[in-house]
Amino acid sequence: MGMILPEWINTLIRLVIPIGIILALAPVGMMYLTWLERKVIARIQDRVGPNRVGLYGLLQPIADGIKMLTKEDVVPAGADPICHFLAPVIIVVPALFLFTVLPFGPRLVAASLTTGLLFFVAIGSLGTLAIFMAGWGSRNKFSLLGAARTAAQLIAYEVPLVLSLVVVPMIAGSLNLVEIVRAQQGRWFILTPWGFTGFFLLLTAGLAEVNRTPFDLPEAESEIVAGFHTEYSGMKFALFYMAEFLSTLAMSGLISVLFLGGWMGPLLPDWLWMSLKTFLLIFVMIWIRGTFPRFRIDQLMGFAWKVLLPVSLANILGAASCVLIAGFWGNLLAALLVFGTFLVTTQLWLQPKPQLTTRWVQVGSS
Amino acid sequence: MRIYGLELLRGLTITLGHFINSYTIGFRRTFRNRMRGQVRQHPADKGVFTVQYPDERLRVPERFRVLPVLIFDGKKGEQWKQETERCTACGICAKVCPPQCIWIVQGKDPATAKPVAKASEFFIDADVCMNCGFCAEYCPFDAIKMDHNFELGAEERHVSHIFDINKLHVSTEYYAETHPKAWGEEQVRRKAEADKKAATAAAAKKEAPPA
Repeated sequence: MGMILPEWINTLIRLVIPIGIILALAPVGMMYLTWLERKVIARIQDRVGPNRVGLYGLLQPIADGIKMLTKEDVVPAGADPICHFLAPVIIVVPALFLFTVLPFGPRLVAASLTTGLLFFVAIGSLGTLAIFMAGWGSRNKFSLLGAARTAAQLIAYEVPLVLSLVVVPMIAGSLNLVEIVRAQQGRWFILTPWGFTGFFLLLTAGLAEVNRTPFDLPEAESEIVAGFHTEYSGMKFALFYMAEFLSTLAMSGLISVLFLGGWMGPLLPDWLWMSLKTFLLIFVMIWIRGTFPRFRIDQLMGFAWKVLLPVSLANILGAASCVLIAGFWGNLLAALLVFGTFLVTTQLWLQPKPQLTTRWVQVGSS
Repeated sequence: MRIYGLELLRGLTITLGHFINSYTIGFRRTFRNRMRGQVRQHPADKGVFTVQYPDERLRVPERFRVLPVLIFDGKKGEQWKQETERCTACGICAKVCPPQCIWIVQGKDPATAKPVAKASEFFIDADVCMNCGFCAEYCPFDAIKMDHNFELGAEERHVSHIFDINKLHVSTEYYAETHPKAWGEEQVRRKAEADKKAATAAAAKKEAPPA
């Protein structure tokens, strides 16, 4: 191809094809994630889930899409029209950008950046801007509250998220996600003590980062209606959902790249292994959603700053000790560091406050 | 001292158990119920609890009551006739009906045009009826009973929800099938009453001197 076509067309094709694939597959993947989520949650609650539209309800996402497209698009009176319109557009873009650096095989990556991990973290937190635009532009107290909560939550969870990511380039020696997967040739990072801790830290902080239960305070329906997307309807609302599911998908992909060996695995092709690991993590996220209730805002903040942050710092020390002292003793030291920190922080700060006994006084008695 | 996170893991195993049970037990039960032709729900059951209503349905309890029906002595599919009709147009049900939704017209003998103890018209407004069952409680002739007919949707209410005598009449065979226990009790009671009547009649006959 390069022999016949000029150089610029060649480059263009190399760029356009992966972008086209991402743009085509991501919405379809998101639609079927909604189906999967509804099915799994239903099964956890002893229900059947969507099963009327098509076989096993497989056409339900399409029916939902048609419904969303034909719904009325309401812009509230007094809303900031530009902010209100742009927010759902802007929130999808970073969610789609995340897929450009995720490797689905040694050569199956849209852009193999040398700073891929940094790119992922930087782009991943851009969604907050769109959420705040939505909250501000809607002229609704619930929207604004939801947006404020998002900002607070993301600032709190960005710190342990990045600190739990730091250990991977420390050991792999590269920020390029393809190189990181190659570094797990011998054993996956989750099988090392620091990788094990990092995996759970990243899973927890990642759940908070993509606003999923039990960290879905920005859209807590029992308190603030629907949070930042209270005033959105029709396709704009669908775009918010799409961004959320795409971020979930991308976060699962990142965790499987960093700790579960990415595309590596026996027998099956690369892309299939990567997809399997991603969907396993998505299942875990849905499973967590089906199990745990939502945090209270002070518990959420307390958990981030008082537990996750010290543990992720201890994890960095543990990874460093693994490098310094090779072999069993380094691993033991890393494990002890993390476990000790976890014990100390939880005992210090998560202990429930002693209950004050209520003393009832009879009215009229002396 | 308490190790945090262990109970969270335990919670996760519980929900995973429900997830797996919904497939294994649910499948077995679906198969079994297909064979039996009915769905069962019990608090101790595990697996999927959903009853796919229009396709599957739970059996309603026998004393479940919705609207009253009139009983005539006969088989299913038969048309009611004045001879088989149990109702005597006494009007007790219309009197005790709290929302006053029953309207009765007494029948006439076609030959003599004299009133007879049979109803020729019997209306119940299904929208007004409050399903209390007083009519069935008070009826001295066991002619009006509460039925299980709960799928009563219609597109308008001024014509199709005024049930007339033809729509209200069901056979004793149908009632015996839907209410086996109540029907059995009623049969026993009616037989005892008939026996008592026969005994008193026989005693009266014995006391009275033969003519």
